[in-house]
Amino acid sequence: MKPRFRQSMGWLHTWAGFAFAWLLFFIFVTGSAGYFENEIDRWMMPEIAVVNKPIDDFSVLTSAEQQLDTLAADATQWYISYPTGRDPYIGISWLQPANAELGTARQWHKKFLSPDTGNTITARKTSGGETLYRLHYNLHYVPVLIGYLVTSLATLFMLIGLVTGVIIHKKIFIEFFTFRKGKGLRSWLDIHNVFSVLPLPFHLMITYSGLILLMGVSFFPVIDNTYGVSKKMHRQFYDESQVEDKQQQIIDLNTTELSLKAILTDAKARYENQNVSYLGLIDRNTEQPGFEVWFEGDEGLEFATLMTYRMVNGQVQLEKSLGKAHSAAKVYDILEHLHEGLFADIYLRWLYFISGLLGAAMIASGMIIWVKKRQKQQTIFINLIDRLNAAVIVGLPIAIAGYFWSNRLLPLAMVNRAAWEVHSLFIVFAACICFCAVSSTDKVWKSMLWIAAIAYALLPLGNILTTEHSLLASAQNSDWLMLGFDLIMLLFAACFALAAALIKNKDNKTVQA
Amino acid sequence: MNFTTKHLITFNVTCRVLIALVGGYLLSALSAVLIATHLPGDKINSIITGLMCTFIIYTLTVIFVFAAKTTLRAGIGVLVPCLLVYCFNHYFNGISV
Repeated sequence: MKPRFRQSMGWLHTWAGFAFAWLLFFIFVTGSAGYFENEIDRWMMPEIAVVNKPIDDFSVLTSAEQQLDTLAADATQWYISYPTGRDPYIGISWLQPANAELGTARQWHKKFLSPDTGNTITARKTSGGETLYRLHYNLHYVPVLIGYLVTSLATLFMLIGLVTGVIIHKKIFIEFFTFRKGKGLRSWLDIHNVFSVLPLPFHLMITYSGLILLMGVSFFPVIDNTYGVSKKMHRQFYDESQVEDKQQQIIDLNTTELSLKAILTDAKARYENQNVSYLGLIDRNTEQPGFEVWFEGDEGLEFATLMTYRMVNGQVQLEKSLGKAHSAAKVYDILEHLHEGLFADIYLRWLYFISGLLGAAMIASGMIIWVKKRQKQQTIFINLIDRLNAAVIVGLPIAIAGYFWSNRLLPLAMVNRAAWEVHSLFIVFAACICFCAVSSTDKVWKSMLWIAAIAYALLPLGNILTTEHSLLASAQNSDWLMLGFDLIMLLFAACFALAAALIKNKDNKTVQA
Repeated sequence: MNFTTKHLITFNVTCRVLIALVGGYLLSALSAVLIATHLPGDKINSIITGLMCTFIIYTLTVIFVFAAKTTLRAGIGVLVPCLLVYCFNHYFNGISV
């Protein structure tokens, strides 16, 4: 492209970054939110009762089984979830098989139980944290295949941007410690370096593992040509690569018929120091139902392990998974777990979240630099990009605040309530774009930042007005997730307000200079 | 910069983008097939390994295409390895990609 290698790479870095910058920003922000999926769920279902005192695992089991007996008599799978650090409540879920007479499809159901009475609690219909983080690879409104392909392509551009970014930096280590304040473009470049270099290992890991997660879709012709063409063969390929090594042993359990109670007693005796996170009953409608026990502490980086009890020829067989059978599948698993961060404790989880936001900030600062370098041209196109930058970089957080607001404001009995929460997110996003298109160029960033600050600052207030969860009540009730969420919203508001205030000073400086 | 050079640059850039994206995809998919069929051992393992290499090959190809001195060189530099890998796959395994 250019006479020198580094110049060519500079060109590629600029344009590969520019091509998908807004989509990548969207992917990084919604994906980062996914690290707090359960915590967002808690906030979006304020009706759930938090377990804030020690409970007896067996009495929980009794009331859960009673509920499942009445609600899910013909379900094929039952799960009972015990309170854990991230999900401090009691839940039941079941897989309802398809019913031809009623015309209902095979579907998972989930309900929460009150720790005091054992009765079910009906939580509001919500899309929750799951739909929010799924946006980062399914793009919601497009067919799922298109969503996968477009996000994969964007992620490839991200990888190219990262590699070329490393190539064009001569003194990557020194530049990391350099920040020249109040120097316009130079300052933005320094900021871009800090956001990129510090979390570079994270950026590379998350980008590469993201590509790997969807490689079966984006490079499906490779499977076609080596394993077999057709959907059925692809299915078989996935099934075969998912095969796990298992350790099986016959145990002496004094019983002729297994029950959840019997296996809970046995599992507790085997692992005295572990907290049970799930009890499961699978293949209920078969001759040989399986009884599963999951432990909270067992969810390591390599694999989440569980124990399955089954009756085999009148004896009790205990089975433990040892991870994927194929070594390449093991590597895939590790990359997947690194990407999803499900194993992370609270501190590492925060590190994941902050690194993800730094990635978003890296993309945002890159886009701002792109505009700053061309601002002297004063063309309509550059001006438009500048406005759209504001609409995406600040508008997306506002849209996510809109998503949270819709959870509190939409009527509880509304039809398709959960779907309308997601629609609200995109309606607010579209409104932000319209706002940025018409407001004056000098003020657009500042007004957007103030709107974001207000939208987040008022969320805890909205929570108090629409539910009984005030900051004080959450603290008294040891409802740390609710309290934490509200406080983080205030922190976000403060950050946006600070940015709005700083931008004013900066503009004054440019005027003086 | 006169009218024609500007158009020439646009043409060159478009060509390189196409070579990088389409050629890069072809080369990485063909290489993945090569790895998947020739890596000794379990078939599933080889296919997953091949797939996991694709994005590294893709990225390196894109970098090569934009680093090449001329667009023609970039095109040849991608086309020739593609043909080589294709022929290898075709004649040694009877695979027609």
